[in-house]
Amino acid sequence: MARYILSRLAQAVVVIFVATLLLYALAYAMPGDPVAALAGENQTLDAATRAAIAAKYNLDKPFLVQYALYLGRVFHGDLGTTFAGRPVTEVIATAFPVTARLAIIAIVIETVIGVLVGLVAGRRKGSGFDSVVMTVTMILLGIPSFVLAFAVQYFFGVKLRWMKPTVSEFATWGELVVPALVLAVGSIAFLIRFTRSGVVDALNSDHVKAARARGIHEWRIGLAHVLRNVLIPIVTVIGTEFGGLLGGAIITESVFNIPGFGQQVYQHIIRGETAPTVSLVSVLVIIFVTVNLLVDLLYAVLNPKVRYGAHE
Amino acid sequence: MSEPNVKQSARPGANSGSNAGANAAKTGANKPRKSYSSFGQAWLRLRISPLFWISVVIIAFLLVLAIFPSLFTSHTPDHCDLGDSRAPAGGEYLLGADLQGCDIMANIAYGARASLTVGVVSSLGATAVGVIIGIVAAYFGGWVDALLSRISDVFFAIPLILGAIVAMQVTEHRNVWTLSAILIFFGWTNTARIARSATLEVRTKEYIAAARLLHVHNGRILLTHILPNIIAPIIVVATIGIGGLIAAEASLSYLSIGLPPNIPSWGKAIADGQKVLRVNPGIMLWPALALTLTVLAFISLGEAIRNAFGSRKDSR
Repeated sequence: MARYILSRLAQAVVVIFVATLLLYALAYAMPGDPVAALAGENQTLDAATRAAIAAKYNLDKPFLVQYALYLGRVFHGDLGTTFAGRPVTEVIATAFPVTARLAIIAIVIETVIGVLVGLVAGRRKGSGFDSVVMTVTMILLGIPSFVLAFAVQYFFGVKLRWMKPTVSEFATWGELVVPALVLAVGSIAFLIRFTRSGVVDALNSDHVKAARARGIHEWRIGLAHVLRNVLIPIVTVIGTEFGGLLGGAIITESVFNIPGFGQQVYQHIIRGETAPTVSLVSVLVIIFVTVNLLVDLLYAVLNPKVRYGAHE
Repeated sequence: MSEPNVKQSARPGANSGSNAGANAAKTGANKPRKSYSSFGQAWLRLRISPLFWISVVIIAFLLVLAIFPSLFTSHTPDHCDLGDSRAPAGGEYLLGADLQGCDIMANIAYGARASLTVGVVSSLGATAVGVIIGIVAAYFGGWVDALLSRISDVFFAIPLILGAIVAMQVTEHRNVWTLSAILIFFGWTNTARIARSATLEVRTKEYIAAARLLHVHNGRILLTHILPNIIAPIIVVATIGIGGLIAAEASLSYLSIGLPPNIPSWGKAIADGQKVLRVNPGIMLWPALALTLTVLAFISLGEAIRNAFGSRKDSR
């Protein structure tokens, strides 16, 4: 087990390093002149000022040097400043809790709805309920999230006035429930289907048939033989779906005007601010990899096959 | 509970008479007999699936729209008259005109071309890359697998939209081809994982061992023995992927870092409609409807194909 944890940890560190390097390399190739962008459209800067600004933000150094300097600063907790002079860490500090709330609500919603509906649909495979669930989840998987976001915003926010069309600057838990639901819709549908097929497989498995043959009560079979086997892989799915949530948050946050991480990423990219963009996206990548590392470790704890090294 | 009848294997098409709905095809999907070609079997089930025909009709209509947009509107998307800004539907403009006085129908018809091109090209590309990497990793194993799996982990760590946003900013010439290339670059990991695990399963089969003993060239084994046996789930993922990538294109264009302003795109039309959502919801409604219907058509086509092949796990 200790060996598994160590190797998984080392893997995650390497993935984070290479993925951020890849993003940094991409961003470094960004066109446009960030110094000119900083000065504003109608300003012309003299050569000395340009050089001073370039030197301040290390824009005059070769790529690998910039990356090394950047990494060094990151490990000192310094993610640089935006061109407006705000430290990126401060941007993250204000935006992060908002997106964290959004993501937590989304994960809770998708887990509860996904698992419950999936369990019932899988238990009654082929029933009317199951057909409805399969059709509805297919439609939910097919509606692009920003179309759904606008539909919800228009009908519930503008027409029916059940909610405010956009979220206030405080982005409280209550205000974020509807955007989180919209954000989670794809994951809900996926989790329902994943749970359903897990239940169908488990019910078909030999150990459940053997349990039935031994006359064990249906409820006990459901809890001890089906549920346990179904829930373990769901942990992994929630982890992988988390990446989609982070990407989707950019769109959901822009539609509902939520002052979170995704909106910050988007704002900085639009303004062509290389360093803060890479920092913010890198932080998202690091969060995603860390969440998946934790998920894998949890999976190992739950699944004896991995725990005792039988896996691969 | 309809589980116990999995064992009962029907002749292909034998249950066609009772097949009333999309899911009837699925529940009727009994264990495929190895003596029939699995593709032949799948087609027999597919051609009686209403879901399949509905999505095929929608996709065929979209193809006509994309190839001959001028059949549906007398306007072109770049012919805009500010005097006609927010003109109502009917009359000169079938679906009305948008804020700039451009024909909404023209934007939808010409936008179909960009959406379908990006969706199909990037899904085919991502599938090709993913299949090659997945098969090679699983077939050769060892350090090749370790290396390719780690590379795949790195790309998996960068969510598609995030990576595409950063990369699109790099691209000087934004068009359907560069956008497709970027979506391929960040979008192949899912297929690679599926191809890898399917190949791992097939690799241990006797016919592969037999081919190896006969000194069949590795490339030939991969192409003629492995690929045909893992292709079913790949086709499903690629079909659904077209829908997903069309949605990704629209999302990026909506965020204004997808297709450039001179290429009509549904995502951009939706972003424009957002400004007048409260007063003229129709401007956003039509492109949103076109986008949703398109994505849904590809996802349901993938679903129909999956049902026709029958879940591998169910059939065991």
